[in-house]
Amino acid sequence: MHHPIPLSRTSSLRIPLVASPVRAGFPSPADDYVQDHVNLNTLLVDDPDCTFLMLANSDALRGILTGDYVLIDKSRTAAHGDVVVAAHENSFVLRRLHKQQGMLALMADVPGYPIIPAEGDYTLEIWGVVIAVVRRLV
Amino acid sequence: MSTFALVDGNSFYASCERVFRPDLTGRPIIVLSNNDGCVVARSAEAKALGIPAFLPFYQVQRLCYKHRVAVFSSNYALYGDMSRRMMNVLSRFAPVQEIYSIDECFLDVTGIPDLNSHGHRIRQTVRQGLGLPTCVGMGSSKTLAKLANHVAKKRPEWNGVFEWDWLNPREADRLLAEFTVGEVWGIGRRIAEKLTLMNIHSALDLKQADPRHIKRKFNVVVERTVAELNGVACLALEDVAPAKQQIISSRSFSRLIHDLPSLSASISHHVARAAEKLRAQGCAAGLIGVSIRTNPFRDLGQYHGYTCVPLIHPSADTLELNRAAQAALRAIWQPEFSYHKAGVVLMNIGPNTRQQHDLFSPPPDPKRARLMATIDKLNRDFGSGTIKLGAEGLTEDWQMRQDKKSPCYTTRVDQLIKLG
Repeated sequence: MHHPIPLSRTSSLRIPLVASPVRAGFPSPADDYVQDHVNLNTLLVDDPDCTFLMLANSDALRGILTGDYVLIDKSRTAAHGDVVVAAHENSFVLRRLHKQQGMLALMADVPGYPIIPAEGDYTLEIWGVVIAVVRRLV
Repeated sequence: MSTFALVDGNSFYASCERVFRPDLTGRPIIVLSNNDGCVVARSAEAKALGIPAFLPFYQVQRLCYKHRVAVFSSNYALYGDMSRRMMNVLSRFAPVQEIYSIDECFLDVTGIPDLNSHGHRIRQTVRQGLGLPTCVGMGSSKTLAKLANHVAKKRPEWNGVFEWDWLNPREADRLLAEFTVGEVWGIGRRIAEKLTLMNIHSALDLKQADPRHIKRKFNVVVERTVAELNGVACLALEDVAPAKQQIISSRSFSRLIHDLPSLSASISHHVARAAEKLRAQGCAAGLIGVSIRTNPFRDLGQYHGYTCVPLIHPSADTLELNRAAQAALRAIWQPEFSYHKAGVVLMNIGPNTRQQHDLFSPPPDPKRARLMATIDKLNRDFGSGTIKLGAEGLTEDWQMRQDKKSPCYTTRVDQLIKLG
C-alpha cells in the first residue's frame, strides 16, 4: 500500500530546521534560534484547498517520469511554458502549454507525441497548472 | 442593516463527479443513495430529461440507458473532501461563515461594497479553483438570501448571482409572488398546507400576513419568517455548529436478512461508525439505542424492534458501546421475521471529560482511549474500514451495494488520476 500524503497545512510531515543532536553539556546556542520546522506542504503548495495530487503516467515532459506524483494548482491561470493538466479526448494529459505568436497548443518536450492544437474557438480544456513534482528515490 | 449571502453548489454531487471526468462534460449525471436505491442528485441535463428526484433507480433505469446518463453510487469521501475545500475557499469572502449543509453556507457580507462583483468573484473563484459551479443569493435576512439563491439558480438572466436590493420594491414583490409559500425556508409541508387554507399561497402573501395572527395560529418561528421576508434579520449566523445531541447510523440491507449473526455484524458496523463520529466531536454517549425493522413495503410479517441500553460510564469506546448494542439486539431480535434495516443511535451525549464514575464498577481504562484514537487515525489515513471490529466482518451479507462508485480521487493515493 502507498503512503498517503495529506495536503493540509497541519500535516505532521515536518523536518526540524536546526536541532542539537546530543543532549549533553551546554545546549547549543543555536537552539535559541530554532523557530519552526520546515513543512513540506507549505514548501510545495500555495493554496491547499485548490491543489490536487495526480500520478504521471507518461514521459512526454523532461523532468517528469512515469510514477511521479504531480501537484496541480487548479486556481492558477496557465501561462506560456507552464506544465499543465488538460482534458483531451475524454481523459487527462500532462503537457506543456504553448501560448505565443498567435499559437495555442499543448506540446510534449520530447518527440513522438503529436501536438494537441486548440479547438475551433481557440480554447483548450486546461484543468490546472502543475506546480511541483514529488518523487521518492528509495 | 445586515446582508447575508447563501452560496451553494449546483447539483453538488453530480458536479463533484464531473470535475474528474472530462468525458462527462455536457452529459447527464445522476447519483444514487446508499445501496444504489434512489436518485439523490441530478445534473441540470438529467433534470432536463425529466428524471425525478428521490425515485427508486429501477424506475428510471431504462430512461438512463436510453439517454446515456452517467450513473454513480454515492461517494461520500469525494463529496466530503470537495465540500471541505469549497467551504474553505468560500470562507475567504466574508468575516463570518455558517456551514449549513454539505453543499451550502451562509456568509455575512454586510458592508462589502459592490456585492454584484463580489458575488461573481465568489462564483469565478470556486469555478476555477475547484471546477464546481455555484449560485449566490443575497438579502437582508437569511430567509431572503435563501430565496435569492433560488432566483439565482432558476433565472439564467442573473448569471448565478442575485440580490433583492437590485429590484425596486414593486419588482421584488412581483418576484416574491412567484414563489409558493412552501418554497420559503423553514416552511414545511404541513405548515404550507395550513397556510394555503388561510389563503396564504405565495411568499408574497406570507410577507404581507399579519405577524400577530401568524403567531397565534402557528408559533414564534413562523412569525419570525414573516419578519425575515420583510427584510428584518431575526436569525444570526451560527459560526459554531452545536455538537450533535444524537448520532445515528443506519441503513437498509441490499437484501432481506434473517439470521442473528448478519444482524449482529451490521449493528457492530453501525456502532463503529457512530462511535467514530462521537470521538471526532470529543464526546461520550450515555445511552445507546438499537433498531431493527422489516420492510414495510413487502407483504411479509411486520415488526419493528427498538430498545435502549444505558451505559454505566458514558463512553466513546467502540468495544464498550458494541457490547451494550449487542445486548440490546439480542433483546429485540425475533427469529420469525426477515429484516430490511438496522441501525443504532447514540444519545445522552456530553463532553468526554465530564464523566461520572460508578462506585461499584472499575473505571474506564485510559489505554482504551489511545486504542480508539489509533483506530480512528488508521481509518482516516488508509480509508475507512482498514481496521474494524472482528464482529463487523463475520458476514458480509448486509454490506452496502455500491456498484457504480467512482474512485476517491482526492483522498486515496491508490486511486489518483493517471495522466497520459
